[in-house]
Amino acid sequence: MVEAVGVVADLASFGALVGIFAMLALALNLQWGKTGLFNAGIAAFWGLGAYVASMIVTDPVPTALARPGHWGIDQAAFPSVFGVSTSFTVAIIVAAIAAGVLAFFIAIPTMRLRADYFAIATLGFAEIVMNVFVKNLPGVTGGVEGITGVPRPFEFGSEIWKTNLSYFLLIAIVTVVLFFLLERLVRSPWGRVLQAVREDEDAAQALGKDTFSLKLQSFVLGAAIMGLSGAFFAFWLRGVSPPPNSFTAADTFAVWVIVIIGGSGNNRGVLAGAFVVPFLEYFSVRAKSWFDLGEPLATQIFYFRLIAIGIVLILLVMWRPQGIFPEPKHVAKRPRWVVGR
Amino acid sequence: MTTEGTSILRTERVTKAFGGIRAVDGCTLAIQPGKITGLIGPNGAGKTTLFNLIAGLYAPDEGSISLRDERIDGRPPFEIVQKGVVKTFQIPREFRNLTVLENLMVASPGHPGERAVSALIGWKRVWDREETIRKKALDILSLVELDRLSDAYGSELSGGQKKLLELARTLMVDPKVVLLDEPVAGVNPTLTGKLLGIIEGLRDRGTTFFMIEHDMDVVMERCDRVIAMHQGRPIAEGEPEEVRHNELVMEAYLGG
Repeated sequence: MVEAVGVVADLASFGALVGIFAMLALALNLQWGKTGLFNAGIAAFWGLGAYVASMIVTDPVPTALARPGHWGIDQAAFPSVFGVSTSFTVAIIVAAIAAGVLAFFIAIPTMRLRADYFAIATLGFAEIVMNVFVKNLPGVTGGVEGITGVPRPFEFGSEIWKTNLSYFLLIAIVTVVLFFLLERLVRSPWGRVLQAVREDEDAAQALGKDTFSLKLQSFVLGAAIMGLSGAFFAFWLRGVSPPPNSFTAADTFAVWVIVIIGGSGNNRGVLAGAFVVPFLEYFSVRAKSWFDLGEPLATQIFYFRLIAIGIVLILLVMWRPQGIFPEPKHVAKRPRWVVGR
Repeated sequence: MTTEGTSILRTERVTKAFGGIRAVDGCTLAIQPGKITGLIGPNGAGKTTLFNLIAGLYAPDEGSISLRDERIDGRPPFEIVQKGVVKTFQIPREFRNLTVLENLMVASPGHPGERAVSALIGWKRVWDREETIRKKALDILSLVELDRLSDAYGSELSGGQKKLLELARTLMVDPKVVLLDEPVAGVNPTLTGKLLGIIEGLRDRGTTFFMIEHDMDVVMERCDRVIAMHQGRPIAEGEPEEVRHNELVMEAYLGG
C-alpha cells in the first residue's frame, strides 16, 4: 500500500512536469509553429515567470552574511479562500503579465529581424537576463542561491493529495484549458493570417496586413503563457534556482524538441510531444533502481536521455520532418458556438 | 511632360538612390483611371523600384506619390493597400501551406476575426463575415478558373496557376489600382490570353492597372497607354503606337 502511494505520487509529479512543458510547447507552437518566430529565449520568459511567482508567494528575506536574500510579499496580506491563499492566483497572473511585458520590450527592437537573426537575438537576451541579471541581484532574486521554500497550493488533506496529486490535477486542468483556448485562437481568421505571415511576410504585407503588429501579438501572448508555465514550475520545484540548475539554453532546446517531435503547427501533436522529453528524463533517472544494470551502466544510464533525444530527432528529420502529427490542412473552422447576433 | 486629364495615381519628382545609383531619378508621371497603362523600359530602368516605391516597400528619398489627392509616400505597405493600391510580385508569392481558397480568404481586408480577442470570443459576426468572404473567394476563383483547385495547397499549383492565384488574391481587396509586375512572364500563351482577358474585364468594370511588361506584343495589343522609362525617369508617354515609334525609346532599347 505504501508502495502504491509512492508510485502514484511519483507519476503525479511526472504528470505535472509534462503539463508544465506542454504549456511551454503550446506557447512555442503559437510563436514558431503558427507565426514563424524563432524564439530561442524561452528560458528567460519561463524563468521570469518562475521568479516573479516565487517572490509573490514567499515572505521577503533580507540578505544575511551567509545567504543572499530576495524580494517577497508578506503573506499575511493575502486572504485565503477555502484554505488556499489568493497569493497563488495573483502570482500566476502577474508572472504571465511580467513575461508578456518583457516580450513586448524585447520585440520592439528585434521583431523586424529575419528569423535566424531573431533567434540569435532572443538567445543572447535570455542568457543576459538569467546569467547576468538574475544571478547577480542578491537581495532581489536570491542571487546564485535562488529562492527556496516556495509553497504549493492545496497543501492540506491526505499525504498523497497534499504532495503531488492535487498539484497534478491543477496543472492538468490549466493545460487543457490553455489547449482549447489556443486551438480556438489559431483555428480562426487570426490564426490564418498568422500563418500567412509565417509563409511569406512580404506577401502578407503586400495584401494589407500589419505584419509587425500580428507578430507582436503572437510573441507577447506566447511569452505570457511561458511565464505562466514558469509560475507552475516554481511551485512544482518548491523554489527557483538560477542557471546552471534551471532556466538554461538546454531548457529552451527541450521545448523546441517537443514541438519538432510532436508536429510544428499542430497543438495536439505538441501535447503528445510534451510527454517525450519529461518521460526520457523520468526514465533515465529511475532506470537505475528499476533494472539490475551493474556498473558502469547504472551510473551512465542517466545520460541515456541525451542519446535518445538525438536519435529521435535524427530519425524524425529523415523520415517525418513534419512531426508525428502534421499541421491540419484547413485553418479556420467555425466553432460549435458563437456569441452575439 | 504634361499630365493630361484627371489622374488616379501620380508621382511627382520621385527619387530613390541605392548607394551611388539613382534607380528612380526625378520621376514624374500620372496614371489615368480605368485604363491599363503599360510600363516599359530596358533592364535597370527603375520600373520595379518605382512599383516598390508606390506600394510603400521603399520610401522615396525625394518627391511625392499621391492617390487622387492624398499623399501615400512614406506610409507603410499595409496602409497603402488599405487605401486601394495593391501590387503583385514578379515571382508569385503564394502562401504555400494554405489552400488556394484560404490564400484568397486571408487577403480579405478588415476582417474582424483577425483580431485576437474577437477570434477568441467567437463573435457571430466574425463567422458570418467568414461565410461572406468564402463566397466571394469562390466567385473570384471561378472567374480565374481555379475553382476546381480551391482545396489544393498553394504550393501544389503550377507556375502559371500561381500567377492566376496572385491576381485572384489581389481582387479580394477590391483594389482601385493594381500594380502588376510582369503578370504573364513565363506563362504559356493560352493562359496568358486568359489572364489578360480577365484583366481587361476588370478594367471595363473600372479597375485601374499599371503593368510592367517586356512582351511588346502584349503591350501593343492590350495596353491603353504606355509609359517608357529609362535611367529612372519616363522618356515617353502616350498611345502604344506613338511610344513604339518614339526615337528616344528606340534609342534606349538599342543602347544609344
